[in-house]
Amino acid sequence: MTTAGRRYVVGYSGDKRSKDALRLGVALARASRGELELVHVVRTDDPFQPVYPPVGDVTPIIRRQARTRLEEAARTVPSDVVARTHVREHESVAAGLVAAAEELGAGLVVVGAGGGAGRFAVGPVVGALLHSSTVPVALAPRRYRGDAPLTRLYAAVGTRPGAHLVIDEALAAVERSGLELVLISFLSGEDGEDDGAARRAVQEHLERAAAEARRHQPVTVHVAAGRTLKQAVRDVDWVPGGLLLIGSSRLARGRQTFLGTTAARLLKHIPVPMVVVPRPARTEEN
Amino acid sequence: MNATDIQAPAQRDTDKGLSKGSVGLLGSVVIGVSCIAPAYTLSAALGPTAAEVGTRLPAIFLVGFLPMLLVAVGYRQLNRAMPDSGTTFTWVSKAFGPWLGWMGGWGLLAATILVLSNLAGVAVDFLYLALAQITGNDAIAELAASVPVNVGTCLAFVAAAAWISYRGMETTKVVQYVLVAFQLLVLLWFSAAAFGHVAAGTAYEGLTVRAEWFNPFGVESFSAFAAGVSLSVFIYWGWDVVLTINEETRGAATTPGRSAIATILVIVTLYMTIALAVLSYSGVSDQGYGMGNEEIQENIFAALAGPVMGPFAILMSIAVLSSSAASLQSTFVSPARTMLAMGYYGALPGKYARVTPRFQSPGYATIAAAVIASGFYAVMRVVSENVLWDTITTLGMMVCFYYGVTALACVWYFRREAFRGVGSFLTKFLAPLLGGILLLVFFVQTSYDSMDPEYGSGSAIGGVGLVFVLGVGILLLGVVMMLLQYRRNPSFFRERFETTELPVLD
Repeated sequence: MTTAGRRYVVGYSGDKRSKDALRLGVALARASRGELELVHVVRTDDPFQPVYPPVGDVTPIIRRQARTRLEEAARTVPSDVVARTHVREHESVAAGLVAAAEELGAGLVVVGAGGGAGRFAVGPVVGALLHSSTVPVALAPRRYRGDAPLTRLYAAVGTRPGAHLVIDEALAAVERSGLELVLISFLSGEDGEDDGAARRAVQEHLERAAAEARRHQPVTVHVAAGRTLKQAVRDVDWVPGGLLLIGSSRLARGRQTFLGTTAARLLKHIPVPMVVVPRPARTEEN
Repeated sequence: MNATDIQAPAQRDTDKGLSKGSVGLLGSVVIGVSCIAPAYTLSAALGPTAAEVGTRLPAIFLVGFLPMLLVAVGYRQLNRAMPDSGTTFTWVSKAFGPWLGWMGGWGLLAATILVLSNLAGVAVDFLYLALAQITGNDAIAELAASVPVNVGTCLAFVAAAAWISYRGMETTKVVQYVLVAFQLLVLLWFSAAAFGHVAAGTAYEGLTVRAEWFNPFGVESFSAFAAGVSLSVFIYWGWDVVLTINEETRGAATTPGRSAIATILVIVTLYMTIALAVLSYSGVSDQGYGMGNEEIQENIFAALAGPVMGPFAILMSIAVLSSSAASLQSTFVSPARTMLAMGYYGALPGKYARVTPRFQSPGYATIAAAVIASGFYAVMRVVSENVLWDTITTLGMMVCFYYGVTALACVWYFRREAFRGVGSFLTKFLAPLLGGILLLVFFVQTSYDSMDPEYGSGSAIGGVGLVFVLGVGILLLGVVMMLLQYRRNPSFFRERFETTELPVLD
């Protein structure tokens, strides 16, 4: 991972979510002196998608509109942030973004995830991206303003093997950006209500992880407890410039979906943008 | 390839837009067959065609293919020289100027809107038929005859298809293979069962196949011949997509020529088999299950599947229903893209050129197509006794018009290059010229004949045949719309717009 000129791919299509994503991209770039690559993926026709009766290919028109929208977007980027624009063609928007991130050597893909009812809604593009991305994916919540500069990084640490991957990623990010680091474990249900053994176990696990991390950076820890996950989320002192880093469920075993049950439910409740870290190519948990 | 597939290699700048996998011979045939939606087209067009040409049905299916093939050759040449989203609209504008180009585009739009409403209508019939077959309650099938129920269901179908299209959702390769395989299987099963009944003496009419069925000159009049060919132009409409698929695909596994021939063979064989099966089973009498019976003509499989396939008739309902539902969705793309291109070049108001950022689909144009198709169907369902029949006949006319004009545009556009060699002469001049003239002759003849109030299903408005009112009315409406657009934006009609024109090779 390079330190200077770190690149962030922002998935941009001109809709409201894209603008959320762009604001998050700007905030991230400012926090770590990164550069933005605004990528508009134009979907190409699948030959197995017949058009009856056959008519021409409209992608040239869509490509021209994409270029115009990207130029407009680039003009809204503050002058202290470097932003470049790219129109890419791909069968799927998600795969196009991943391909662009790999090609441009980007360390992160930023997309807008707000839609539907919640602040985050995993639509088809974001869903596919979460299943396929080889780099971390940052999700901008709906109507993300990006007014406050990023100041604090929350890293969600589970008790299952693989938690250290999230911590490693968090340490690298903190080193680049100088954000405060808070390790959080969420504890909900009956265990979250009392100060019993379960809570102590989680606290101990978290302290062990923090002790390891403190060799590199100052770290605070917090066990967010509550009867429900929603209440556990309220137990965290979220700052306006916060960012939550969370591992993909493939860090844990036996699940097909990228987001674990807890992570997916967290999406609904947390008030700050979220970065989902993928499993690395080598399977370390085994 | 589905959205979550990450095995695809990373795209480079150098291969922009060529991310499509190569389409092999089988794939091309599947795409070609899915584009003509055989279960739907046959169910809608067999009856009206048989009404015109009687037992010469197989002959007309063979002959009707010829003008379509000739025009498709020219279509392919134009597509290579001007790969533009506007197709007919752009090509005719370039060859004959903006006024004729606009009308060509209008003809294409009208045809796609007509087929949308017809598809939805057929889907409604089969939906209630399938429900009746599943529940064993025949009264449900009668619901399709109730105008409010029918129109309401049809609007729901159109709205659902428009929504899917608006969101830019696509059917996958696997779905296409399954749909096509299922349709072919059911249609062949139907044919085999029909021949079985004929052999066992249990068929309704039980005719033996005769050589004269294949003689196109046996059709009683030129009017009937022209009407039959117009209808068969409709049933073959769409197969020519195989000519352009592989050209857009680098590293194609097969040449367009080979896949086109394979698709043609599959389609013609299929249509011939079914035409013969239905003809042998039913005959052409105007009673009962005879193909001359007006009661069953506009949706023939709905009537015949039960007696022919017995308890398995439900399969036919599902085949036609899935075929028309899938086509309904793919048909939305067509008018929406044409309107997008026309809006983009200033031939329609600019809002038609709007692309929804999130779904990358022509949102305004898609909704406009849905509104027009629904409104058209609702009005027609009230005005006409046999709405499906009349729209199919008008549709045949409209396809003849815009394909004919496109073919002549090809001849004129390539007038300087056409005489450079035998190949150029055949593909850029002779084939499109013959095809274009044939289609326009059929268009004029059918238009003239359709003035008779007895024409087609026999619906009429003010003593003039409904098909004529529809066909000519739509074209006149096009002229009015064109003049309105001229007042709004005369620059399109005065200046030549720019499109990519590639140098002609070979």
